[in-house]
Amino acid sequence: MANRLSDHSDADLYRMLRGDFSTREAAFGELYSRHGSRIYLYCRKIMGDQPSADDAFQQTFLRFLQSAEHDRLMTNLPGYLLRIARNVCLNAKKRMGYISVPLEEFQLSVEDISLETKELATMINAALDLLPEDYREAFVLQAYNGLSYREIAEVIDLPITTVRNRIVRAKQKIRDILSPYLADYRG
Amino acid sequence: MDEPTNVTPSDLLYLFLDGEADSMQQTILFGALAGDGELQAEFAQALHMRSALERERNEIRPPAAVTHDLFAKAGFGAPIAESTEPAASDVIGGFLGRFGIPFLCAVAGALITALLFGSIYGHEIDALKREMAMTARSAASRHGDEARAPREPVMTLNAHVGNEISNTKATEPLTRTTTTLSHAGGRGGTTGYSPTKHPRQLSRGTQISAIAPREPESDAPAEHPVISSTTVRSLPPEIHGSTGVTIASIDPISRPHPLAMHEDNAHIPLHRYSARLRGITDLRFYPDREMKGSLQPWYGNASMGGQYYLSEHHAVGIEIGEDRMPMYRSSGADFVRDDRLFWGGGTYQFRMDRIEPLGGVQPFFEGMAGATVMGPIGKGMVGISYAQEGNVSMGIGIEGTALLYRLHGLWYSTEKTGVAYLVNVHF
Repeated sequence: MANRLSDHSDADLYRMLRGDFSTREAAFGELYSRHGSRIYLYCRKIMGDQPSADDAFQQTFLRFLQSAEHDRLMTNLPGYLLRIARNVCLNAKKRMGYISVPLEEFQLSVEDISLETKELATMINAALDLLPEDYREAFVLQAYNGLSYREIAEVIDLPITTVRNRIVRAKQKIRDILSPYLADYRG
Repeated sequence: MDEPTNVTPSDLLYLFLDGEADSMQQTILFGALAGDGELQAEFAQALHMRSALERERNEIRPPAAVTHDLFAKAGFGAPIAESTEPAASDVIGGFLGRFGIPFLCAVAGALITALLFGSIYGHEIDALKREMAMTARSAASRHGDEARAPREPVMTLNAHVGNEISNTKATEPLTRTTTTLSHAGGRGGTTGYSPTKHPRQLSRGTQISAIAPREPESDAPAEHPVISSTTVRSLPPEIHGSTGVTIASIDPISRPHPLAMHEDNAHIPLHRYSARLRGITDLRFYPDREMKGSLQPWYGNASMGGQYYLSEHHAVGIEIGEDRMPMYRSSGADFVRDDRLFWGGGTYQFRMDRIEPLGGVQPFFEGMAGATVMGPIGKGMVGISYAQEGNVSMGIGIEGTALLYRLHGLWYSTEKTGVAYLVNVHF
């Protein structure tokens, strides 16, 4: 099979998921290659631990594949995938009885304040776990998934002003958490 | 808390970095930045955080195992790896894209192998060339005598560095011996053999040719030629009897001259080059994987190549082939389930002596180092070969293949074993 799928839109590929086996397989593979990393990143950041994230990621794509059996108009496939991922992650967290650590209890045991980029990414991940769930989700969708405020508002179905506030507050809190370690970094 | 509040310069800073600040907000932000050192520091730190986030965003990919598992659960045959291969826009570009890297690696591997073994066997080959030249000159000078003499056999001996040498004299000396000594260092000539040079002092590549005439002219007891037992066994009986030489080997595992005929291989001409075809069957993959739904061309797992024999036991060569591995990929332009990997590499083969009790089969080991478009590949094979009289030999053995490939930014390996068969045409 050597169909040229890269020229097809997401909506075309979504329709092809209702085709025969080889067509479904090819379309699914192409959609996976386009959006898999983004969805995986979301699951990792929301779920925190990798096994849970892996499970949520797989469930997301399996549900997505099942959803294609029904005839529906697909206008924003990445957003649709993210909504599925969001539901999967939230349900999983409810089942797991997620407990958020109060911000005040946070202490980072890192003495080196000259943070390299990779180390800083690790620190941000640690700080991310301490954010309120709503803030974290908005932050992840913007910072890791690259969605605009408006796109995020569509995904989580909230006003754009709320999304904006959550993102800005999330970033400010992360900076506050990391401030002892960022103090020497002034550009 | 979620509802909009007064927007501070700090808020504007993040809105600006997120590309969400309008022109008026940008103007306010820049004005605030001009006179606020704290805000400047926050801006720098926010930029630093953003670069860290972007880097992580580009690095995180679904693990290969998760992808494999997902595709299996979805009922599809295999995961798909992102490929950075450019679309082949024309025949030449397509050829280079698919075969270019393996071909270059094959050439590079062959060069490296040739250099490596050239440095090891270079002296031997040089000595061989010199001896051949001297033999030709000697033959020319002896031409008249040889015409008169009914028979004057030439014994060719080898002494190799690293071989255990036992210095045992002949119990009865040759009465006259003309010996040709040639050393790797270039010294050589035709002289009466004198054992003042201890056999242990013979350097690698030293060739000793002892010409044993029928008529003794001297009985100098000190001149005891040291002769390989292997070579002596190959002498005609009348020579062995006429000289009365009882000889112990100085080199029990002495290898014959690269171009000489080993007594065990006397009926097989030793060739310098060979072309070969090889195939693999009865595959088993590691980790346990299936080639579910994959293309299975009849020419899968086949290769062809050429070899150059450095000696009777050592050969180097280049080889290109196509293998089926538990690998799947798609290109940017075409979505192709393709588990066929084209590879190329340099080969090295070590062949043991023929085992006459087993019909003259010859055990061998062979290794290949090469590359595919997905990553480096290596092969190892242990087997036996069999040659009838003529230029064709056949072999069979167990071959293992290992491939390293990159998937979503991480390196993985896959391996397989199988029964390999090969046909060599020597020339």
